[in-house]
Amino acid sequence: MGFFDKFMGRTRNESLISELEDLRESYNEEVAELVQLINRLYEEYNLRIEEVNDLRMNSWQAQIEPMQLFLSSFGNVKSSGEYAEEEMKLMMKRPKSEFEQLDQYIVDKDFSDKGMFLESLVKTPFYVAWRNKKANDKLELEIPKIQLQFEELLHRLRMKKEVTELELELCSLYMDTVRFILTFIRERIIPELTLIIAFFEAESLKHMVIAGQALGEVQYDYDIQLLQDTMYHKHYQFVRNAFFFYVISCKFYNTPVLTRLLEHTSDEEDLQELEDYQTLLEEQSKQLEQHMLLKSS
Amino acid sequence: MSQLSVTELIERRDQYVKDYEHTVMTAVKQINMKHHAILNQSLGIRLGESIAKDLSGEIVRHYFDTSDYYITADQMYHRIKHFTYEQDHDVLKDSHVKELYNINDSELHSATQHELKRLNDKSQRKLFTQDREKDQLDKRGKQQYRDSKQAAEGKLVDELTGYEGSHTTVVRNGKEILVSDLHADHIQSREAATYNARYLSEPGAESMRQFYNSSDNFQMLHASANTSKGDVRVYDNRGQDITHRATPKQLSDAIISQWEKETASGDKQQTLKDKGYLDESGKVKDSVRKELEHNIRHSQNKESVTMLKHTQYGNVAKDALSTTARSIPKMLAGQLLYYAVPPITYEVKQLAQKKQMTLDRFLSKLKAAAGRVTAYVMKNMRSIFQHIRSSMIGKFLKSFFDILIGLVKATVKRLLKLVKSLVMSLVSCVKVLGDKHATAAQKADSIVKILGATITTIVIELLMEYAEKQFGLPNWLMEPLQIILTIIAANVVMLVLEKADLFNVKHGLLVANIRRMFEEEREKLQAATQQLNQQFRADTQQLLQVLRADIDGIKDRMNAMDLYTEDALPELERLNHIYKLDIDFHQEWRNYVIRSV
Repeated sequence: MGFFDKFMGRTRNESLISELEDLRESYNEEVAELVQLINRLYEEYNLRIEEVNDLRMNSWQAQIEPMQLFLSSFGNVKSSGEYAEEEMKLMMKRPKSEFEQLDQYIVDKDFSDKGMFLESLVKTPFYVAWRNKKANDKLELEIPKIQLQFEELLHRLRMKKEVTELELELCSLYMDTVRFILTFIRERIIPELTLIIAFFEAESLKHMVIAGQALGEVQYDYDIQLLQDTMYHKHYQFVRNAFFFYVISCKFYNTPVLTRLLEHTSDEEDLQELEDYQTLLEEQSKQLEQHMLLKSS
Repeated sequence: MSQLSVTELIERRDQYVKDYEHTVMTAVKQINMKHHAILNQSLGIRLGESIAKDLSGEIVRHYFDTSDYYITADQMYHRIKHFTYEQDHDVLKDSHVKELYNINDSELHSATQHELKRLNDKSQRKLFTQDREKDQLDKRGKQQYRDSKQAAEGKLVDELTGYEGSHTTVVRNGKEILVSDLHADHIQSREAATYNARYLSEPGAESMRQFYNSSDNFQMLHASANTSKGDVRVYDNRGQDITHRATPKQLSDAIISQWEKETASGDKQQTLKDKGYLDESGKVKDSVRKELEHNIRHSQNKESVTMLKHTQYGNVAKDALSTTARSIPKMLAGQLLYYAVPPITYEVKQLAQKKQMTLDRFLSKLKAAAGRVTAYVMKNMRSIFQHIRSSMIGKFLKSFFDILIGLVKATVKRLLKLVKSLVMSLVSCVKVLGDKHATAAQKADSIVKILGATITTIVIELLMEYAEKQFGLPNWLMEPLQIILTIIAANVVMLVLEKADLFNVKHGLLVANIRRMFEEEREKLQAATQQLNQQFRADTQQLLQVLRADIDGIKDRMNAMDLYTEDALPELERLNHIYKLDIDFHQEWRNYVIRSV
């Protein structure tokens, strides 16, 4: 670029624009990296959620239904409720708006290729050079502000990553618990059910024979509480334990426990606290600005 | 077994998010505020303050004739007030504009100016010592002028009134001669003519005599006007003859008062009225006055040019050197004041603040203080000599030009004053160029400022001269007016140039400041968030550990349990709490066992 370009400030403009473009590139890379990381975490989370959902869905057949049948003989079993899915995380999209804004800004401020000869004839080259110098100055002073925007974005992404890592751990924990409960039911409770039913049937028959009743349809309507503190207390105890396991497995079935837990961001109280805090910050910054105006006048 | 639940972890997560947001937001706000502050502080050059400071310095310099110290009062005050050994704010380094104020001394109060004036007055010698009748130059000059005028215009015309001359026939030596009533008059009178013998040798004086009898110093006047003009002089209010220094206006005023003076017979008045010099009320006509002044100015200018051609510049330089030498003691004193007084004041302040001062302690501390002050002055010896050297150059140039300005008159005088301002500001510019510690942009910026201030001072000077002529203000009023206007204008020009920042000096500083601030704040933010992250991870890991242990315990106990004899409810309640399942197990059981009858 020749003297005219230098005088008009085009050279300087070109180098400033190039600086901005470099910044854009490097921030673009960093942002892409972080987003990729986060999405990988999301993918892992979703894999685990899928596993948990499978367990939960299948629990109806494997655990809940048999238990429901069993327990209905002894009391008012309520419905298990509808299956509710644990939600998966949506993949994070790359933040575009900041970059698009910057692109537009660059296009606006780039005058290194604009034709200025005609304009110089009309408005004198000195005026045009002066105006360009002012534009370049403003641009140069804006660059740190633009950097700040992207730094902010990066920080938010990093925070997101930390939070997602925690949620991943919680997901594992939850999955582990659900699996344990269902396995426990399947291995320690379900096998006992037929034995206990058989026992009660036998008892029924015994009583019917003793009572001299006709052996027709055996009624399985037993009041379990009657067995409490008798020699048959242990059956009472078992049915009670089984009932409680039923309740909890229904809960795991009809409630997306993890999703609900993770969504708990704030209570009403916390929200209010946040709002108050925000207003306080704004008040403080306004006061500071006034203070500075006073100082500089 | 703890009372921990997943909720605590979620709350820790939320706290983390809140804290993180808060940290980032505060940092962003902080950076924006500082950005804003840096941008705005540089524009707040307090015009009022700077004008006040300059004004106080200039008042002292003018009225107490402290020009030769080459230090201003406000500079001293500022330095004394804010001095510490570490923060040694040397204002002399940025004193370009102040130097420009010191181009012109106060005419009324400066010792040097008085001295030069006295010397000038003392050296005046009468130019024409020979009798007029015997002076061939005089006769020849007048004749030549008359002839040239006659030849050019075909007749003789009164140059002031425009009236045509008339002839009368007179018999002289038996011959009839035509005698005109117009005389060739010396514009600057022959009798009053003097020259400065100090700077003009005999050949120079001879050239001056020739000038006085050349066409540049002649005008055709009516005989009456010529006679009553006579050998007019101008006196100052102390009665001294200042004809050699008189302005065209002063001279023409003196001549006019001669013309307007009433004589006993009143004949002169009548003649002058008839011949177009006076109007009906006996006052000199404006057109005549204007023409007269114009001719005097023209003559004075030509005289000045001739004088400058023949001036012995060696002598001028010698005299300028001796005034410079005479002011070295003051320059030295100024430097010592500037470098010694602030640390001394500082030391005294320190001593005065100390408690439990015994005489012994005082004396020993005094010795140490004296040592420090001496060391400080010695450290700055180089600066001191540099300052004195540049002050000497300034003083020499000032005196040299002041002498010449004293010699010349009218427009030439004004031109020389301009030249003086330009030359002295050029010297400042050269000094700036030679500064090893400045960048090219800073040098260019300083030079533009110096030239800007110079032009401003020149403009104000011209305005003042015009005002003086138009409004006839006395000198004692003109001086303070000029000081005030010069200071205000110079400061405003400086402010405008600062804002314009033609060489991006200020902008460069701004950018550097902002970038530095940004880097600092960004690192701070980075460190803060790093810490937040670490704390968050540590806390959550710990909580998770406890939770896992709890759950493992639950699992172990359940696996070991005999469901027929032991109650599983406590363990399930724990899980209920951990995962916030909100199950009311007891209510559920109650609902279960109630049998509808």
